Amino acid sequence: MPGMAVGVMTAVAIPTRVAALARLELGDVLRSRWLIFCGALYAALAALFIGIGLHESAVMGFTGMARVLLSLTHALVVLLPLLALTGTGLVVARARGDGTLELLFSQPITRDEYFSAVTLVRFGALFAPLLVLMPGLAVFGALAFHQAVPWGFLARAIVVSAALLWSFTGLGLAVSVRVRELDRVMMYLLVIWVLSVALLDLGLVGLMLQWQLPAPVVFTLAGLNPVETARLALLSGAEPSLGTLGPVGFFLHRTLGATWLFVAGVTWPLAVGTFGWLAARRRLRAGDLI
Amino acid sequence: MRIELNDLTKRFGAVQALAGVTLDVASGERVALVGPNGSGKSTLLRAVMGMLRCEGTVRLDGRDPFEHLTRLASHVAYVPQIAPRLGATVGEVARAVAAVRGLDLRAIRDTAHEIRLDLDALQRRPVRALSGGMKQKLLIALALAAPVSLLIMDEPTASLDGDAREAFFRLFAERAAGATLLLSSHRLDEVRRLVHRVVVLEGGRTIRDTPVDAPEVTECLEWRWAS
Repeated sequence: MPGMAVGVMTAVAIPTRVAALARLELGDVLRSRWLIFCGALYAALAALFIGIGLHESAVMGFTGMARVLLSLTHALVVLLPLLALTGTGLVVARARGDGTLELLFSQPITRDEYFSAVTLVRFGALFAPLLVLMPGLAVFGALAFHQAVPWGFLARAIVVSAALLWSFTGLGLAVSVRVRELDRVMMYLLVIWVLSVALLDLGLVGLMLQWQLPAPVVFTLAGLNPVETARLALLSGAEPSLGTLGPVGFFLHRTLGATWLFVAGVTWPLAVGTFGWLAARRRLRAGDLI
Repeated sequence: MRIELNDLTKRFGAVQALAGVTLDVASGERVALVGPNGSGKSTLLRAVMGMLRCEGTVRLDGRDPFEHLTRLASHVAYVPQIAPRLGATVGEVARAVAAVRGLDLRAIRDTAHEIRLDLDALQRRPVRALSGGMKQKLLIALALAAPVSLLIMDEPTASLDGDAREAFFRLFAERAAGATLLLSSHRLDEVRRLVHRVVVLEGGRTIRDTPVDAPEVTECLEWRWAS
């Protein structure tokens, strides 16, 4: 700030304050190598599926690049919630415990500005590598293996992945603001992830058979699980067969159709994430900072 | 800045941290909170900073700090008792504070220099890797870099050596002469040099409110709690 008198404060606009907090948070993300970890994990999965997918014949109707992307996103549907939960669930709880909140909130910032900065940086750190990797992978397939790029599926996969990441970013932040002890935070995050992954198609059928749950209950559970809705949104537009969707997904596909499953698979995770985020913001606004 | 606390009460689970504290600190007045560990001093300071939701009322120049934190925080500086174990570097923290306060980074650097902290040399050092004394100097530099009308300090010189403490007193006299001060301390020298009035807390209650030169202040600080 050239020309400003030393030691004199000037009014600071909200975006400047959010940007300053975001830079501080980004520094933390880079230091923890979270961005590198996410990028490396996505890349390792991509390499794995390229190795398998582009050198083998068609399986279940998918061939070449389309199959690679489908396998990758299918794996990501299970992995993204875990990454989002661990990337966000400890942020506020740790900042509260290590005195960061006490230092930050002695400065002229609002709780909303802090929370916005944390959300932007954490969600960005989760989503940015994916946004680079998926199109990069498709272009790589086109150049190296002369594969046609499945642009439609690629766009669908990116949108669904973003919705799923947002869903668990919101839930992770809700846990982080609500729970103070880090070991309890970890336990809650693990429970959320295990439930969301366990209640996928085969798990739901297992529940139905084990406890003789009525079918509508099983379909409701499927619909309430953002991981399941995201999975169905992804697969129903690519290969809506019983083998890929599973019995619950196949029934929902037959009942709702691919378009509605896609709409539900994007809007429901977004709604869950937004609900979690709003609950977290409300709690942060109203509760003790320390 | 005037501080008004009325029947301030705060409970953490089973622990009654504050039990109906009423206090009026006039603008420009300097008050020390003294008392044994767990008497509610830090909780009271955090309540005044708007960091805790309490029963009763807190008003800074007539405004509730919990609701008007941003507006008030521009005029308030705070030095916490426990230095944050931040992974962020000294440079990152100084830049962030300068940015949100609309302050030139040189102001923080110059203030740090006055209490013998070389900010340039520590730019890349994580805050958590600093010694206790260095952390405290950094917090003081961040707090005193700009003119404020209320200074809240929780045992600000506890980790400082004799020279740094003298430098802090000089800096305080220079930068915060007209500001209202709310100080929590166990140190008699700190209390005597900085405040006009002493409020003794015990069990979350005010048990004495007296001028700093009253004999019981010396007795309290030298014999009851200093050890």
